[in-house]
Parts: sequence; C-alpha cells; structure tokens
Amino acid sequence: MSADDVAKAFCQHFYTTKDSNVAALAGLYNQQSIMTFEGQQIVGTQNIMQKLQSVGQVKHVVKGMDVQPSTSSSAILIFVTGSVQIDNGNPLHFCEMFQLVATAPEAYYVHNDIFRLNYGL
Amino acid sequence: MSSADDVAKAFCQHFYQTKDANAAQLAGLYTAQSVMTFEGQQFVGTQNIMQKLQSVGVVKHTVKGMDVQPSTSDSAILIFVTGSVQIDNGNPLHFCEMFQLVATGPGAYYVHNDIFRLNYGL
Repeated sequence: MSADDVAKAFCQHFYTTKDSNVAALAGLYNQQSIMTFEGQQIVGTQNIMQKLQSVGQVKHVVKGMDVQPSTSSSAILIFVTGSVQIDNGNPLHFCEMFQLVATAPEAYYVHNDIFRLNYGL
Repeated sequence: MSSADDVAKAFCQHFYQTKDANAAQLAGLYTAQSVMTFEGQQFVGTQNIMQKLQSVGVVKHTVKGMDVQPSTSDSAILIFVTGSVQIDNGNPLHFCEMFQLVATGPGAYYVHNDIFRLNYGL
C-alpha cells in the first residue's frame, strides 16, 4: 500500500469510528502516543481515550486530506481539514494532523495527534 | 533555545513575519529534502517551494493557536498552527499549517515538512 492508500484508509476508519464508537480507537494508540486536543497535551492510550470519550457526540465531515512522508520510510504525516458538529451544534472548522509510525509492514499506530477547532474571524 | 516550545515559538514568529513582509527570505529554511503541500499541491526542494510561496500574492497572517509535539526522534519537532489569513487584502480566511522541523546541528533547524490549507465553507 502506498502512503496515500494508508492515509485514506486510516482517515476513513478514524473518523467513522470517532463518530460512532470512540472506544474502538484505543488500538490505534500506545504508551508513546501524544495527543494535543484544543491545546491540552495528553500522553498514552488510557489518558487519550479518556479525553476522546469526554468530548461528547461528534460528527466530522472531512474536506481535505494531505499526505507527506515523514523523516523515515516507516512514518507518514497526515493533515486533515473539515468541519465538525459537537453535540449537534453548528458545524465548526477543524484541522487535525497525525504522524503514523509502522511497527511492522502495514501495521501503523498513531504516534502524534494534534486537533484544533478553527473559529472566530 | 532551551526547549522545543522555545524553538517553535521563535520559528513561528520569524516564519509568518517574513512570509508577510518578504517571502523570498524564507529560502534559507528549506533544503532539497523539504516537501511542501500548499492547498493540495505538492512541491519538493527550495526552488520549487519558493516559486510557489512567491506566487501567492500579498498575505497577512494572524496566528491564533500553536501546538508543539516531539516527533519520532530527538532532533525533530512538530508544530501545528491555526489562525486567519488575508490574501491580497481580501476577507480573512481560516488557515492551518503544520511543520516538521529537523535539526542539522544544535539549534539549527530546517523545515522538512510543510503543509498549508485554507479552511472555508461550512
């Protein structure tokens, strides 16, 4: 699978799961994973899952996805933009970046995850 | 520069000030290895990247948020920026941009990855 294919599959899976059953995202993270959610930094699967499950009901619409190779052949950078409704509120712009790292061929985990809403002009 | 946060803060200040005032001066931040994606279009290497940056028109960025994380090695930092930008004095639009800075020596970073997207339409 090319990096583009990996990224596409990852994004589809990630947002579908985040919107329907957040707990099922746990397998994507490990002890090394770092997430920054609206400026708050959280490390490790347990803490990350706790944060994700506290956000409330979400519905994401992905508008753009960019992919680049990171500094090693086993790491991919993914950059997502779109809109999100939280608890059925008005849609807000969001952007999120991931660094996926392969532990084995085709087996990636999320090493870095940064999420921000983009509102106010 | 004592921490990744300090490096990131200094980098961002320099980057957007320079991008707004004189884009050509950003050249030293990129190398032949640098990859930039600008609104979905990918450019590799300083020359191609600079050509794109100088073609965008007059820009004025307002940075609202900046997040920093260590990347997969001690010498690499991830920076995630959100804010608004005016292009050719138009209405402000939301933008987000991410960078991966890689150190070639102590305190000496170049931009290995740069991804820029506008975020409009709801």
